[in-house]
Amino acid sequence: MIGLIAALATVALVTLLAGIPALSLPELRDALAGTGDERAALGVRHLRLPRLVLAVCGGAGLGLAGALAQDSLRNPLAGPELLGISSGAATVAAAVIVFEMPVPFTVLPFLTLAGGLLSAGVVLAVMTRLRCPPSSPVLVLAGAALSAAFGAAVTMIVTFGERQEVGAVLRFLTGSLAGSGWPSVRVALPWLAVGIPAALMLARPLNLLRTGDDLAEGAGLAVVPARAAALGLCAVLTAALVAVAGAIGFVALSAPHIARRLLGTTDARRVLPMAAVVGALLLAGADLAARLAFSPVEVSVGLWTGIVGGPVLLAVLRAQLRGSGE
Amino acid sequence: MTEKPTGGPSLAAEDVVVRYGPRTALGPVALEFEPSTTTAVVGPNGCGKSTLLRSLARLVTPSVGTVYLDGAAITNLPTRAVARSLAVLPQAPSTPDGVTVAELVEQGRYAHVGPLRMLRRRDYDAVERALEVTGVARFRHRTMDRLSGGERQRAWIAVTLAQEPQIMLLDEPTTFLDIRHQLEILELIRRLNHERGITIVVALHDVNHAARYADRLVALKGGAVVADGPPAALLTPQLIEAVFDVSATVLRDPRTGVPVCIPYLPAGRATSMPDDRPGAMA
Amino acid sequence: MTGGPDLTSGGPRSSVPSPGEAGGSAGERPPALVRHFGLVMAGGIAVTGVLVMLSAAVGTTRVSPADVVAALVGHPVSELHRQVVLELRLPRALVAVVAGGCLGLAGALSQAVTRNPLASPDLTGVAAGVVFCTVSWIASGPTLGATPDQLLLQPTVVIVGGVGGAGTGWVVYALSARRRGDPVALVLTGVVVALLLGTATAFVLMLSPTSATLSAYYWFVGSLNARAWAHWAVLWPWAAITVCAALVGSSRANVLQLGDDVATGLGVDPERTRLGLFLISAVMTAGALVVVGAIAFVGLIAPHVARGLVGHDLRRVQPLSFVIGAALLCGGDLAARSVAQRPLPTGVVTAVLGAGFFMFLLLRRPVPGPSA
Repeated sequence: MIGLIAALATVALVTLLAGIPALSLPELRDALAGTGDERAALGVRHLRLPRLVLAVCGGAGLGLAGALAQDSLRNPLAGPELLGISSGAATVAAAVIVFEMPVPFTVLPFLTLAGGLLSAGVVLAVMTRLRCPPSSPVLVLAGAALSAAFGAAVTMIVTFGERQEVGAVLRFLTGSLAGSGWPSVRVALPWLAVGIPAALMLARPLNLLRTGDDLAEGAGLAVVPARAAALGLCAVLTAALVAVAGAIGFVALSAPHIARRLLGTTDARRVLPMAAVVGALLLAGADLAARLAFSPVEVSVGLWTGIVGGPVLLAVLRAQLRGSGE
Repeated sequence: MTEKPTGGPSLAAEDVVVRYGPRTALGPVALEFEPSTTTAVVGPNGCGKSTLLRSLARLVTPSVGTVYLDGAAITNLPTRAVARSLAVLPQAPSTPDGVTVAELVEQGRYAHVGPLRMLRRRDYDAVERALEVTGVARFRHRTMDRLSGGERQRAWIAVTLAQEPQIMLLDEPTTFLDIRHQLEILELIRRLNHERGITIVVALHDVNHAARYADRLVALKGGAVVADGPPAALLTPQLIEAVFDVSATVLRDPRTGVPVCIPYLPAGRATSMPDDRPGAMA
Repeated sequence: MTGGPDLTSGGPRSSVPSPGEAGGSAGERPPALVRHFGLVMAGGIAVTGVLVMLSAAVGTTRVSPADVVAALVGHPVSELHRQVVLELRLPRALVAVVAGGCLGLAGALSQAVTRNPLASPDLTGVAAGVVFCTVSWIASGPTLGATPDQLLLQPTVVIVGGVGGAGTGWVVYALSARRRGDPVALVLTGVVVALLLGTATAFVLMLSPTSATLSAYYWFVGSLNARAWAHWAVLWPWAAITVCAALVGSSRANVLQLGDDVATGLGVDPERTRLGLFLISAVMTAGALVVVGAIAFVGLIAPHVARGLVGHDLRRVQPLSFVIGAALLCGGDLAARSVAQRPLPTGVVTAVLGAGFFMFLLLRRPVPGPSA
């Protein structure tokens, strides 16, 4: 854990230093203090710093969102991406952008949350209606259907919008932190500030849910509300980031698995905080790569999270297939 | 009583060993099955009954050794050709929703139809005979999920019969059935052997059924054959204890003259578990 | 007739239907639709024919049905009408019919191979593979010296897409190989792989030269706009070969439905049969998608409806799935063109319908698990 936090700090530092213009440590200190080169100060304080804050907090939120979904559903493939929550939130955001709806920026997370909760609700409804175990792959299939439907909705939205929007919508659908300044942070942070601690507090109930619905019920946990709360919180954490940065994928899915592998335990009380740190590291690192790798062209952060998260996803899938479960 | 038709391919397992990863589920086993005989394979859970039947039916390829169908290595034969002589009814077969009995039994003719896969007169006749003998002809257009357990099992037997096999392998066909249906199935199997000379190898969990309906018992434990012979000779308290870890009283059935065993938990060992099964359940 | 298991199934049935019951579902005769399968097929083909006619008649230039028939038959008709019908709308409708049919049939094959009624080329990753390779190919058009639309007309694009689809299908099949008998594993793997490829496709679109992005995107979305005889020429050979292969293999596919053990016992090699059917379905899907773009869900809906009408025998379900798929895509295209002010891409219509249908399926009855 210490190692990861150190790594995170390093990435943070590099993020602030690197770029155009590249800074040295003393220059950075000056910029942060407000003295020294005016342009550098502007760049650091209004571009890199807020973006970093968003990446760290948003990444932590995503890592927790994934852990919440996976533990409450006992499904290692669960997460906002495969349950349709990200798509739901992103579709709402796309609609707002393309139709240029007069929605104040601060209100946007409410709307994206509605989209995300819709997906979460449908998935829960499918589960209840079918009376299938939450770990059943059917839920992933339902999520896939939802994503497809939302994808169609986005296409419809784009068709009715202006032609130039195609590129913007694509960037949004794959996620980008480019151009996120303090306004974005101000919008997303309150949600994350509430959501992250709330998620951490759910660790005990999640441990119970992991043992099985019947056992959890027997131990005194109200299973259905607990699961709904976990998924709802997952939607909150996802929607907050989606509203300002689009649907960044793979972080929520892979962070909890990496955390579990590093810790060697599945105890949610330890996994959740670790997943948050891993998520923050992943997103901050990916954003750094996005900014610098093909500099000066910016390549969406989603590509980099995909490069890391993709193999993790495949590994999880193989492990699940190898197991004696479904 | 009319003579039982004889003749037909022989089935043999020569030095067969089946391993799943590091675990040896069966073997080495050497068994021969004469045509037109009924052999019951018995033994405790995990003894390898299913594995034996599956390797005989070429559903699984042995790690060592060979299964011979009429002298030829069964895994070298084209699977359709094998299906024309040998039929297998696996444990708890599953049926897709909405299939009717007739549609299911028609599938049994796959090995016999020509390249265009159209069913001809003789195929329909074979299906009809199979439906009649198993007594499910009147359900022919009913879907499988609307039959009782016994009727369903008879329908599955009709499928294997439609193959017009000379050898039938059945893996625990009476599990999950109630007493009456169990006896119906066993009687059907006996009739198939006596009236048509079909060689039967059937895995059964109930030793008494095995004794009543089979000419020969093969007892397995831990993947090895521990006894092989006619029920009258084999069913002794010593053997029952050795194979099943229970003590038994063996009586003579007043109606059939066949040995019947009544099992008891050995005194003082009521809470111990048998511990020499070869690992996880087969 | 369709429906899930009876609530009382599993217990001893109470006797023979009473004389008052007329055949019906207690059924000692096969249901009417099965007995008269020929009629059902004829009906389906007729409906598709009507849709083709309507497609030829409807549009910015109104052509009366009489003129449509006249143009088809060769009687003299105004030059504008002849052009519109024969050069514009007829090829479009025919492409819709054959592509839709292929997608429907491919769906029936996917469902047979995976023994899972939720399977379809979209869910086994095959469609995603076709889309990814095709998008990559056409988006790199400018660097190859051609526009995306030009590339779409060359036979090479089918090969590219086909390799992508079959390759992805093979990867999905291999990844889920440890759980060979488990149909759900295949679909799950397919969904995950589709997610990965979908993201990759979005990136290709974003990184492509701007002149190509728009056309590539519109292909990607799925549309029948401007599909002409050149597209038909690309489509029909693939369709013919794969459809024949599928129909020939249908009795083997029937046996496969009974489970690997039973299938082996009956003389069918389950491994090889599954692989063969899977490949046929992959190539069939590729041929269709390359021409019409990433149109989804036809392969899910068509076989379902077909099975609901005529039962499970694949020798009936397969041809009927083709016909229903054809009608779906042709009808969907018609709807897309007529419903809004601005013509919608057909892919949108099928996706919305399809996702809704899929949800309806999920909620209507339990999904048969591996040990149904």
